[in-house]
Amino acid sequence: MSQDLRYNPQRILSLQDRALAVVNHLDAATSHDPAASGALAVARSVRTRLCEGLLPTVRRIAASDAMLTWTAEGAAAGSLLDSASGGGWLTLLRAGFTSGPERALGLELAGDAAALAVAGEWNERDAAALSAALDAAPPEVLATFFTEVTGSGFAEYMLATSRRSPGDASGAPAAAAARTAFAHAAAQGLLPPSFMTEVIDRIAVEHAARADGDVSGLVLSYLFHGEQLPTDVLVEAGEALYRVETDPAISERIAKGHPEIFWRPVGAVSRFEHSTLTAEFLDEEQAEGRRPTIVGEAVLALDPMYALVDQLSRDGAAGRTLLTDADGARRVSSSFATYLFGTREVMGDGGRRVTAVAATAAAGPEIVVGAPDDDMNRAAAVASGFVNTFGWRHADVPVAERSVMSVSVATILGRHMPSVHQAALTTQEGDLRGGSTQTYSYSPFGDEAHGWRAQMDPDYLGNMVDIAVTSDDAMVVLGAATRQFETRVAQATAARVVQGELDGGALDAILGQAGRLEGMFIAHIGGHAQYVGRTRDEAAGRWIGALESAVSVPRSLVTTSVVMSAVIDGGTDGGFDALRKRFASAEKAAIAGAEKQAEATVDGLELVWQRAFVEAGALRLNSAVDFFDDEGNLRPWEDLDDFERDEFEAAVRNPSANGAPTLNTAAISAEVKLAQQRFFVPGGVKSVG
Amino acid sequence: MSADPSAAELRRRARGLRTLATHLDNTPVDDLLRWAGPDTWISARAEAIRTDLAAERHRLRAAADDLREHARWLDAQAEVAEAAAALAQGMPA
Repeated sequence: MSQDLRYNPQRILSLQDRALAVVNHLDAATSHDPAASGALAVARSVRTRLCEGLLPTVRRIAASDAMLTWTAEGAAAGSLLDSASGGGWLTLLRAGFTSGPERALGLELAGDAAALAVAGEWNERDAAALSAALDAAPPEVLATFFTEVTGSGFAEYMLATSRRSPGDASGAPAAAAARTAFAHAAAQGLLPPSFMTEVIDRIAVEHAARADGDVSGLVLSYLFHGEQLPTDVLVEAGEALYRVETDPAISERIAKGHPEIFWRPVGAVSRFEHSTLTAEFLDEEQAEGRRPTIVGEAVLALDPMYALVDQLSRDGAAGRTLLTDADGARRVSSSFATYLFGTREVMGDGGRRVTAVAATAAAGPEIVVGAPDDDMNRAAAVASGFVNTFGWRHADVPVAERSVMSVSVATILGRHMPSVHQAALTTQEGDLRGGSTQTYSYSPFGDEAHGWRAQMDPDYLGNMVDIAVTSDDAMVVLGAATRQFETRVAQATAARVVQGELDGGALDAILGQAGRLEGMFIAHIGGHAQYVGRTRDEAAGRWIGALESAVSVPRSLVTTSVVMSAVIDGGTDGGFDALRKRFASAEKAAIAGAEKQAEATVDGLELVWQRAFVEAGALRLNSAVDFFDDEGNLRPWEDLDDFERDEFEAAVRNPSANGAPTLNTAAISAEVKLAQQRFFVPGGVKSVG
Repeated sequence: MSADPSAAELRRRARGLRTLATHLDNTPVDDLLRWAGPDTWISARAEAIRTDLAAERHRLRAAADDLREHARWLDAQAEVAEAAAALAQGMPA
C-alpha cells in the first residue's frame, strides 16, 4: 500500500497538456450525417468526462504552490505525503477543501493517508509528513481520515509503531503524529461514533492473542499520556476499558481476575524497555526529579488504567459520569466506581492517581455552592463511594504511602465536611458499602433540605481521615474546611437562637455535635503523629491552636451571610482562603495529654461560637471594652491584646441577660472527650475497625 | 465514378463516416493514458481515472468501428444502386 499517493509534477503538467489535446481533438470531430450522431455523442461524452473529471484534478495539482519547490524525482522516488520536499499534497490537505473536485480530492487524500497508516509500510519521512499534514488538516479532512482509518485500524497502526525495532527511527514520530492527530480530532468532535471503543477492543483482543511479553497496554497508555482528551472520549474509554478488563472472554486466560496482570504479562517489562514508546514515560519521571526505574515505570506504563485515570483526574465531569449512576433522585456508585475503588489494583503509584480522580470528581473547582443540582448530587455520590469503598479496602495503608494521597483525600473530606460531620455523629455500626446520596438537612440550617450529602460509613471515614492528616498541606485543607463549617454552623445557630427557634436543649445538642467532629479529628491526628515518631501532643496542639484562626479572620472575610449547603468551597463560601492561610501559619505549643487537649479544644470552639453569638446579638457583652470596629463587627481575635482577651472571655461568661440560652461549654467538652475515646486509645493508635 | 446520383451520395456519406472514424481513431487517448500512468501519479483516484480513460478509449474505438461498418453498408447500398441503374439502362453494371 505504500505505492499510493505519489506524483511527478512535471509529468502532471504534461498530462494536463495531453488532456487538453484530447479535448481539442474531440472538439474538431464534426459531421452532419445522421449516421454519425451516435459516434459524435460518444465523443462529446468523453470530452465532458475529461473536462469535469481529470482536468480539474490535474489543474488543481498543477496550480499548487508546492509545485514550485517540488523536486522532480519521479513519482516512484518520493512519497505523496513527503513534507521534506515541500509536499504538494500536504499543501492540498492543508488548504482545506470546501467544494467541488478539490473537496473530493482532499477527502480522497485523507482516505489514502489512512490506508497508508494502516498498511504499516510507512517510513520515517511518511510519519513526519503524516504528522505535518494531519496537524494542519481542516476538520473535514481530519474527520475523513479517522472515519477511513477506523478505530480498529488506528489501533493496529499504533501497535505497529510500538513494535518497531529500537533502531528504527520511524516508530516514535509515527506514534506521536498519530496521537496528536487523534487528540485534535477528539477535541473537535471529529472522531466517528464508537471510535475509542474500537481502539480499546482491538488492542485488548490483540493483546490477549499475543499474551506473553506483549506491550499492547503501553499503546493505550501512550494515547492517554498525551494531550487532554474531551469528556465524551474519556467516558467512552473508561467504559470500554472496564468492559474488556472484566470480560472473561478477553482477559481471563492471562489475568485470572487481575487486570493489572492482563496488561503486564510475563516478559512485558523486558519488552517495555525496548519499546519505541517508552522514552517519554522515563523522561517525565526525570523531569519531575525522580530517578526512573524500568520496573517501576513498566508497572505504570504497561497498565493503561493509570494513564486513563490520570486523564480523568483532570476532568471532573467525566469522573462523575463514570463513577455514578442514577437511582431515582439519588445518585449512587457505578459498577466502574466499585471496580476502581474496591477491586482493581491501582496502588502502583501509591494511590496518587486514583485519589486524584476522586478528588476532581467529588471536589473539583466546579463543585461549589450554586452549581447544577445534578453535578452536586453526583459529586456527593463520588465522595460517598470513595470513602465507603476505597476506605473499606485501604484500612491499613502503609504510613509511607499515605502522604501521597493525603491532599486529595483531605480535599474530598473538606469539600464534603457537612457529610463528614453527619458521619461523625453516627453511632450505628452499619456497613455502608458503595456510594449513595441523600438530601442534606441539619437543624441549625432549618428543617428544609439543602442539596445532597454523601452517605459515609464512620469506620471507613476514619480510615480516610487517617490518610488526610498525614501531611501539612492536607492538614491545612482539612483544617480550613473544618473551621469554615464550624463557623457556618455557629452563625446559623446564633441566628435561630435570636429568632427564638432553638431552645437550650437544642443548642446544647448542636454544641455537642461540634465537639464530636473536633474530637474525631484530634484522635486521628494524634494517632498519625505516633506513627511517624512526632509527639501526638504537638500535632494535636497545632490543630487545636488553629481553632483560633476562625476567630482571627475579620468577619468580612469569613462570610457575610450563612451559606446553607452540603459543601464547603473556596468560591462562594467566602473566607475559605483566608482561613486556610491562617490555618497554615498556626503555631501552638504541644498540649500534653488527652484531657488537656480536650480542654483546649473546647476553649477554641468556644471562641468560634462566642464570636458568632455576639455578632448575631444572641449574646450581649457586659464590658467597658469596645470589642467592635467602626462597622459594628467584632474585632479579630488576634487584634485584641491580652487584657482585652481576658475581658472578652469574662464578658462572654457573664453576658447581659437577654433571655437567650447560654453557651454550654460542658456540652462541647463531653463530646470532645467521647470522640477521643471512640477513636483513640492512649498508648495505641486507634480503636476504629 | 458512378453515374447514378443516389449511389454517388451514398459513397460521399461513406467517405464522411470513414473520415470521422479515422478522426476518432486518431484521438490521442493512448498518449493521454501513457501520461496518466504510474510514472506521473499514483493514487486511488489516478487509478480510477486511468480506468475511466481506458473505457473512454474503448467507447471511441467502438464508435469508430460503427462508423466504418455503416460506411461499408453505404458503399454496398451504392453498389446496389449502381447495379440497378445499369440494368435499367441495359448495360452490365
